[in-house]
Amino acid sequence: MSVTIKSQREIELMREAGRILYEVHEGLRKELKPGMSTWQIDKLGEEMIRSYGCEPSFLNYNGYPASICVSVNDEVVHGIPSKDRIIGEGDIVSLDAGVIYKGYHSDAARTYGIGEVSPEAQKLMEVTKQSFFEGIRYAREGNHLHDISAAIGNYARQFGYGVVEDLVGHGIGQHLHEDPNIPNFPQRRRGIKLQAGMTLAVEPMINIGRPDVCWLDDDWTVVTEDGTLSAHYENTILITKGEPEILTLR
Amino acid sequence: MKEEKLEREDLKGVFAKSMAGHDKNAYYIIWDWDADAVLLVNGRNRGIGNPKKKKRKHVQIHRNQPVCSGRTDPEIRKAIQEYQRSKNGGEYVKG
Repeated sequence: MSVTIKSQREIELMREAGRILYEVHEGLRKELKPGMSTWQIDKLGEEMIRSYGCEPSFLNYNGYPASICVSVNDEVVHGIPSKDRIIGEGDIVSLDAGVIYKGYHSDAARTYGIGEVSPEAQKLMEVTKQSFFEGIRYAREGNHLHDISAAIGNYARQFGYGVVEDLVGHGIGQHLHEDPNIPNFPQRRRGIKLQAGMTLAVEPMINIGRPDVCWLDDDWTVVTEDGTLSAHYENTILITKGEPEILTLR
Repeated sequence: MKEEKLEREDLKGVFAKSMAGHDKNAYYIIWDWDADAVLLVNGRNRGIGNPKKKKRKHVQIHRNQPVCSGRTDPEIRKAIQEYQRSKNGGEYVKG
């Protein structure tokens, strides 16, 4: 699949998909509390998405069985919600969600601390979030895709963190996963030239320890190999001739 | 019998790409095979103690390519990572 340039009409639809997803994340943020199961989080998220007349992007995507990926502590991404998985004080919880609005997807992830978290966990979440913003400073027409990758990776590695290399961001639009891949670490090549109208999901995944990850037996949940904490932060952005427009933030 | 043994040895360690299922596009190495299926390992969720059985028609076998000589999960994991990246800048899992 080649990289798609969205028309003005498509951009308007993706703006709305992004706005709705922002509202869903805000709603979930307010509801998170110790004692909840990850299944409850998923159900709340699904209800919120459907209340806007949207479909959850992730539900049944390649067989994924839920609407929200809920990844706790050493889980990097794609955690499958479960009634048995209860979040507790001091956990960090990544919520990754997507919505389909009139055929167009948006995709965004946030990592939250539950109650009081350790200073190490707090710093990891802040650096992961900031690495996204460091990356998108380069997200404008005329720059190259891997300028974003390098900026994310170089920023996070300054803190001694492991930048996950096996999973990457992606283009987004009528499909949840479109080209191009967007690695979060420096590449040998510059990558494609960015053009106004591209829509990208930029999503650093950062570990306190080594970058290595492995998949659990459910074939979905990705965890850090060394068992250290991991954080995830993602937004869908629109490339323009100037500053990028972050479609899933207000 | 002899031919089957020869092919079994030829395929062992060969890189393969899943073409169907929710692991579509994931890379493995062939650990073993029978007439209809291959046993695949990636050193991660599918280690040598827990290979994934997949129909041969659902797998693209990368013959005439470098072969993984690793026989432990960390060696296999590293070999796949390097192989993926040698292919058109790498086949990653989209988040």
